[in-house]
Amino acid sequence: MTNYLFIESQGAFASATAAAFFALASDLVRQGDKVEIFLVQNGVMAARTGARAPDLSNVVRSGLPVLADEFSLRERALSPAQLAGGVKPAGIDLVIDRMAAGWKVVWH
Amino acid sequence: MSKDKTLTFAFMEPPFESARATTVFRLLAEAVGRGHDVNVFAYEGAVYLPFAPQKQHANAVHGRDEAQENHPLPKDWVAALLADAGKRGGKFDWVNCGLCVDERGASESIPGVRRGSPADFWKMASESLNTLVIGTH
Repeated sequence: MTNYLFIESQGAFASATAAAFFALASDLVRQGDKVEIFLVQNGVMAARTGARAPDLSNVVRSGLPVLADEFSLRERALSPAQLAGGVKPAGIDLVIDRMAAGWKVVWH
Repeated sequence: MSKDKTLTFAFMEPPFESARATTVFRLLAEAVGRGHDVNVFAYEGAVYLPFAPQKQHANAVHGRDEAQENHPLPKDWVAALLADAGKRGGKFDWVNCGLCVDERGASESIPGVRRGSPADFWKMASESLNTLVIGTH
C-alpha cells in the first residue's frame, strides 16, 4: 500500500481537471492505497457548505479524509464552521509531515 | 545534507502572479522551521523570485509612499529562508535553472542562490527523503 497526499489548489470552479484529480484519488483508494486530500488556495472554496461541487462531495462521502488549509480559509474570510461536513481545517505543516513520513505528495 | 532529513521542492511560479508562490514560501518556511535541510529547484518564471533588482514602490492610488506601502519582495523571503536555515545549522540550497535564467535575463540573483540545470534537480531528488513538484499552471 502506498500513501498519497493529493493537494488541490484550484478546485472545480476554476479547473476542469480537478474532477479527474479527485477521480484518481478514489481509484487509488479502490486499489488499496491510502489517500488524503488537502485543499489549498482557491481549492478551499468548493468545501463550503452548500457549494455545488459534486466531485469533491463524492470523495467526502466516500470517506476519504479531506482537509482545508486554515490560512487559505482565513484569506477568504471562511470559518471552519462554514466547511461542509467531512471537511476539517488543517495547517500547511501537514504537507511537511506527510513528506517527512515518505508519502507521495501530488500537486494539482 | 543528510538524506533522511532533506526535502526537495521544484516549482515554476513567477513572483507577483498568483497565490501559488505564497504557498511555496509557506511550505519552505515550515520545512526549514522543522529542521529539514531544503533543496529548491526554481525553473521557468520562478527564477525571478530571488532576482536582486526587485524594488519596493509607492502606491499613489492609495496615497502611500514607499515606506508606508512596504511592498513585500520575494527576494527578501528567499534571503530570510537562507538566513533562518543558517541560524538553525541547516542547509538551504536554492538552484535557479540556468537555461530559464538566460531566457529571461534573470542572472542577477541575491547572494546564496546558485545557477544549475535539471541535472541538479535529479541529483537533489535522488539524495532527498522526498520531493514535491509544483509544476502546473
